[in-house]
Amino acid sequence: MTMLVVGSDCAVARALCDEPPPSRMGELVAAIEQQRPSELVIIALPATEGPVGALTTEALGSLIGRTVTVGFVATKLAAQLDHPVRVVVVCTANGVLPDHLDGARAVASAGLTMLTEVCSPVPNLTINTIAVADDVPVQEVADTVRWVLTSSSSSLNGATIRLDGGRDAVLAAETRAEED
Amino acid sequence: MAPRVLVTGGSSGIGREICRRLAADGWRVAVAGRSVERTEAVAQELNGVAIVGDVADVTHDPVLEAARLLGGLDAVVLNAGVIADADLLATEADDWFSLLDVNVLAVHRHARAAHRHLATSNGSLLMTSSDAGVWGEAPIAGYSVTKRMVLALMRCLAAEWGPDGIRVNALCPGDTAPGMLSTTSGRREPGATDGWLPPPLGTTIRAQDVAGAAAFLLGPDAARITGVGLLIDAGMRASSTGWLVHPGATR
Repeated sequence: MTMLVVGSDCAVARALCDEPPPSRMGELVAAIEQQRPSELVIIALPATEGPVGALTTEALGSLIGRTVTVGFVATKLAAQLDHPVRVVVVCTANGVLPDHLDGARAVASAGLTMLTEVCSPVPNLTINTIAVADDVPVQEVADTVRWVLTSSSSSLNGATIRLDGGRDAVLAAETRAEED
Repeated sequence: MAPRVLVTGGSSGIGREICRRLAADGWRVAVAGRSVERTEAVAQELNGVAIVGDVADVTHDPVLEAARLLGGLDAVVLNAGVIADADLLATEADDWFSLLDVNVLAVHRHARAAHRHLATSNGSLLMTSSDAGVWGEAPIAGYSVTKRMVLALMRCLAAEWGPDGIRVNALCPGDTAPGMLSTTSGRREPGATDGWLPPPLGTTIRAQDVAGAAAFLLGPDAARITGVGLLIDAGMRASSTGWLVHPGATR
């Protein structure tokens, strides 16, 4: 088993591997082609860029390039390897339920959740997404990634696991917490 | 005064029917499209104005042009889009970037350009997503990704611009005739619907059906509706086996 981590250089990436992950497209392509991983972790956790309506289109395009396009290229390369590959995408939780205050990342992460869904039928590929809230402990994210890569989760494919402590499960979650 | 609307991708398919429906409802319509001939023909038919250009061209600003020609805007329909008939492995880089440029980034750019006009008029922004943005389709992988992003963009802008009095919604059409599936060059003959899976209602979705939904979402009956992606898919996404309702249907 060879695990390769690519994408954003962040605490989650550092919890999964010792080296900074390749994030530039050329480095990323070379790493996948040379290492031929059986487990690929795509980290898409850029810093927030705030509301999407306030962001320039150029900045949104750059953010999408660093997240969704990285996910597309890395997943396509993994699918072209001649052995099965388990892929885990790690993105922000607001790809599931958008938060307009963090709208730019919500748009990018929404794209990644759909990328996961439409790639799930690809032969030799198992792909899932972990959608992470900002305040989730890094080690817990890393542990979830490792679990999704094990045979214990072999039926999981094309899924998005929301790792947010239940924050977005219902509208009244914060109110309930205060009452408790 | 008649309300004023810009429709991108207005020269064919769903966009043209939206232009026709809104004109019939009394709107003054700015028709934006790539083809000079088709765009001017629709504008002439509806006594509207034509704006010719490619939405992916960052120097082309149909919103500014429409606001100038119509003296302001009460609604903008960001309908222009492209599709690539390709699953993940068959999606080439050129197609990927074209999908992002037209389906996501141009929509973002023109939505931002529309903000000040719509804030002035308490107007409405409508984007065309797809049923594939709700429940993805592997044979059109990149297209599905971009249409999910359009839905997220729509929801974020609905919340962000709600305080400015702007409503933001999206259309999620299923296989529509005439629409992208029947008019995109190189795909099928215009109007051909053979091979389409029958939805639970058993009928082909017409561009006029989608135009009716657009008219509703832009109209006064939808004054309290924002942040909604409205499926017009004859029930296809109602069930995971909705496409099997009619005997003989095969995937």
